[in-house]
Amino acid sequence: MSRRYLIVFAAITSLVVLALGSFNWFMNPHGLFRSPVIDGLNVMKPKMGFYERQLKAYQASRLKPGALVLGNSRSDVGLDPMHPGWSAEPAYNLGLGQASAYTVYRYFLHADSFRQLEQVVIGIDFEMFRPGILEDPADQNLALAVDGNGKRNPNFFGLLLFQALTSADAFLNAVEVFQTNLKARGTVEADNYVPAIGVNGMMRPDSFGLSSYKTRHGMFLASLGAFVNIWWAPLEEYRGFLRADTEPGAIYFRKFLAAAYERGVDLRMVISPTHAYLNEALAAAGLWGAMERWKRMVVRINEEEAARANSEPFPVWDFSGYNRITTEMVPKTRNQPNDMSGYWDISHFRKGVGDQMLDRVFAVSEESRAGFGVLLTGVNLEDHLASIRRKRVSYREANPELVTEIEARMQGLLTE
Amino acid sequence: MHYMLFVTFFPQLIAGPIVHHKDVLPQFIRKDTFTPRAENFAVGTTIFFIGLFKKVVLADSVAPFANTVFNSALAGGSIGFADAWAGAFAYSFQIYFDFSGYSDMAIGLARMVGIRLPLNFDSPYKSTGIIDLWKRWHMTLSRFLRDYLYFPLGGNRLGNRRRYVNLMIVMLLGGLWHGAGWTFVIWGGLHGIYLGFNHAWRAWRGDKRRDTLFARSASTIVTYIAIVVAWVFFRAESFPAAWSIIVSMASVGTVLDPAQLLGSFSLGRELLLWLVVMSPIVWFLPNTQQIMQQYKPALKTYPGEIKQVGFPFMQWQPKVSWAIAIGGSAVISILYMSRINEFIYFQF
Repeated sequence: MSRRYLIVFAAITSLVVLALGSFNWFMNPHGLFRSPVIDGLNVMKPKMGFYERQLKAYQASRLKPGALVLGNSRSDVGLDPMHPGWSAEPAYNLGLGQASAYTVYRYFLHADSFRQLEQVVIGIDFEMFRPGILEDPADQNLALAVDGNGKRNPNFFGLLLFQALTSADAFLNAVEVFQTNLKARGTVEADNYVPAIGVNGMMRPDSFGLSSYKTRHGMFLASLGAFVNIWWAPLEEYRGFLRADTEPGAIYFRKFLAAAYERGVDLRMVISPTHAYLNEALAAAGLWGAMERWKRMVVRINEEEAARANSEPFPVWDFSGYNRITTEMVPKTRNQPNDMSGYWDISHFRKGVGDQMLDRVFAVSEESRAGFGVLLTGVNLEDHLASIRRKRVSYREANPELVTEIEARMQGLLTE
Repeated sequence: MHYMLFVTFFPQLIAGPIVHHKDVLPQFIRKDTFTPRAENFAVGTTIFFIGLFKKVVLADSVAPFANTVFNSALAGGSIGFADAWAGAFAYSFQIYFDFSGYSDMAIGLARMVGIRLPLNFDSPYKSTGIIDLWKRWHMTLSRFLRDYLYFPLGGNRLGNRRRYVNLMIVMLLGGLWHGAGWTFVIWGGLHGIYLGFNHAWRAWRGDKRRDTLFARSASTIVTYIAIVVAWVFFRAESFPAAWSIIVSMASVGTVLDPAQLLGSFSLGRELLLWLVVMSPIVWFLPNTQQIMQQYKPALKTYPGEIKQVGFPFMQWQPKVSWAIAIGGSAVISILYMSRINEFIYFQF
């Protein structure tokens, strides 16, 4: 009796799990596997972009890149690992949506465990140091080769495959892949075959939901809600943050730099060129001081860790502030997919801008230098911050109506 | 040698049941204990997978809702009346399924190799009083506290007043045992007060007690609410966070205004669905020990504690139909397992 019971139990459990695993492998909802791609079945993968952390952990283990792009979604859509300036190969874009200093540190150690990294360009942002980064749900239960304490996790690959093949999320997303493709059967265009995340790791920018707004300008203003309610929340805490190095953003940034110095990586940091609209919103939210404090902290921690490692400090390039890219006019006419040359939305710059940043960072072309990007050091930092403040005054004088509109919008969001 | 085995025996190493040497040493010494037997393996596997289901499907599914409420309270956010109660209910189910699932898994693993561990959970939320609760919740801990703390303090032999003092000491220390923090002390203190009331009530009612369905249901509800209120202190990471939730829970005036009541709920339909699914499991279905009763799944911690199940089809037997049911729940557990997955009771 008991023997038969055990046999039936084991057979049912393993057969069903095997069947689900095969289904998930074939539907490949997160794009990890090289399963056959068939129209009507599994071409479109609506949830692929949401499982970037899983896909890129897997790709890092498979491709073993020697060079990386790190950072959040801004780096993810804007910094090209195929840029001619890279000196190590293969380069892979390991930018991750809503990545924080903690996420970056974890993925850096992960990729480095497969092959010693030679070159890294990291896009850094104020928001990557937000106070609650350790509680970010996206960063819980990451299946990575190295844990948060720097210890090897020998079970990582098994855990990753387990999550990819037998998790409820993978299964539900696989069912969604099937339904979506069945509906779109026969109408699939060449475009649909382009995955949300390319083989080089770059995120396909798509349209950032542009079609739901009348104008690009309207879209820029609407996106401020997400900054107030998510990226800068809770605002009170955010305003006072980074007063001490004991905050998680500072702690993990320092750990990241220490690890990079220790390994002798050629690391270059870029502060993303978010659009001037966002500067006004930042100031209206009372965060300007915190943002400047953040830049000082970046430069200081970098120089401290360099001194500790007896190395030259890694270059920190600031592309933010007011320059010919960040002050691009935002059209108020009926929107078009390509009505701006530099931006997808208020903070995501296009690859063309990313290329100019990499030109500068890799010193590829001299002529591109004019007016975009300043190399920050402890020496020129205060002058640079003062210069941005002065340029802000000019920008406000030149665009008084625009500034009033942004401030009114922020007032509305802050009193909600 | 047998002592070494006792100290390191893996199924109960990480958390409860707290095993007394007199429970298992005799089993280690018996020669036939470790002879592999299909029946032990079948019974153990079944209990293990029931436990896994409780943990990864039930407990982990309500955990995020409880986290939302308690984290928001910790961050100083204001919590609505309905959210406060729903968050506290969610946590009460989370900790129950987490811990009782874990105990099942330990008991199941041990049984696979032929060892019977003591029973640790006996449908605690079905309790009709707090005295009853502590004979059903983490039973091996209560027994441990009784034998090594309450009795040495004099128990109830030194008069009535001393009994209440002793109960309070035991519960305060029991609270501290779970973690060094004032919230744990308050949790223990609340249970000490509850126990005192419960004993006083019993003494006052004496043999006037009437055992009607209504009386039992009312006692169960009152007991459960008292437990939930205490859990708020147990879960909250600071006293102000706990207090803000308690204050919201106490704003009962909200109930009178349906619009306000609805407005105070923001946790979403999924949570309501889970609470509706879980409530009958907690209060009306037989527990693991009752389902497995014919195969003596666990040692009795207190005599006569396991009640008979009325319906024979709810009695587990090594039949194909049961293999399909348990296999199905094992598959669901495996699907759920790759989510955030830590045993919250580990730290205690």
